[in-house]
Amino acid sequence: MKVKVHYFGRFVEITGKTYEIIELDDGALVRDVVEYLKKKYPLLQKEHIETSVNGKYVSENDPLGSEISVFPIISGG
Amino acid sequence: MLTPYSNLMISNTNRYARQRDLVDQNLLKKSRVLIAGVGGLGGHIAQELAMAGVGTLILVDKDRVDETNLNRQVLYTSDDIAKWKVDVAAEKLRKINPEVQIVSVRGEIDSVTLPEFDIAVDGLDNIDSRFKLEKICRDRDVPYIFGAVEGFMGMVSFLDNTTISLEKIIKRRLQLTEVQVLSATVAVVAGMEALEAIKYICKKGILLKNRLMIYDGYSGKFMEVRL
Repeated sequence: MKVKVHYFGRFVEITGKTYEIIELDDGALVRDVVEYLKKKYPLLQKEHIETSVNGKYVSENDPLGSEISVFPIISGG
Repeated sequence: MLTPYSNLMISNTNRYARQRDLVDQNLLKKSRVLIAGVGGLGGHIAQELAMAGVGTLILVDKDRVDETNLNRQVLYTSDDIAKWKVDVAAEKLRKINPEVQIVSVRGEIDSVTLPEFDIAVDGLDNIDSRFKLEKICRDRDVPYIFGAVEGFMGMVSFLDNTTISLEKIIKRRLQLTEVQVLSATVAVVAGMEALEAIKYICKKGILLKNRLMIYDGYSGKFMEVRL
């Protein structure tokens, strides 16, 4: 299955792009996207990656849609 | 000839003339807003709410002004280095709008005695303090506007006892690091937080309840996440 991944915040700088389309096995979960990205981009390995699918906040065990947004939780003020 | 009193009345009337149709000035005047942290976010938020005419601003901060604050903390200048932030902030805000009552509280958010307030706005710089503030607000059954900023990115959400809790949004406690922040990004996020407070006080608009608004200035886009 093809999934469009949208990047936010420092993930844009880490990946060098605002989005990309990746190919995963059918039935893949959010967790599979996170693992794929951490493997492809070593700088993401130390990051906690938050995700939303179709505009809804999801966790790693949730199913994927055709698009997913990934972003860091931030804490500065 | 105008007396000083009549001058004051004219000033009061004209001060809010350009927001007359947008807000309920009486509700703003009666409101008491807690601003937790008067640094980057909190300084901008305090400035916005003072200009809008919030009746009472309660400022809580434990720190003194440091030179590294000056790239983004709008209430402070080089002359203020080493002074207590809440003291300097109170003085500046009274100049911005003398009609606003400022209450300065020096200390950690969970170790000070707080007066009553109607809503709290997040100007904090770490997750643990945010969890403490959220607990205080939930215990008092008052809303808490969550906001955070880092780099070119920020996020805001409106939390109360009817919404998802902050711990559901922030599932892991992040390591404290020296965060890189630009004042321009801070201003965007603080403006969103201040506007949520004004909307709540004036019973206007649609609040960011169970919604996380993410701003990514680097890519020039907003994203809403349903929580």
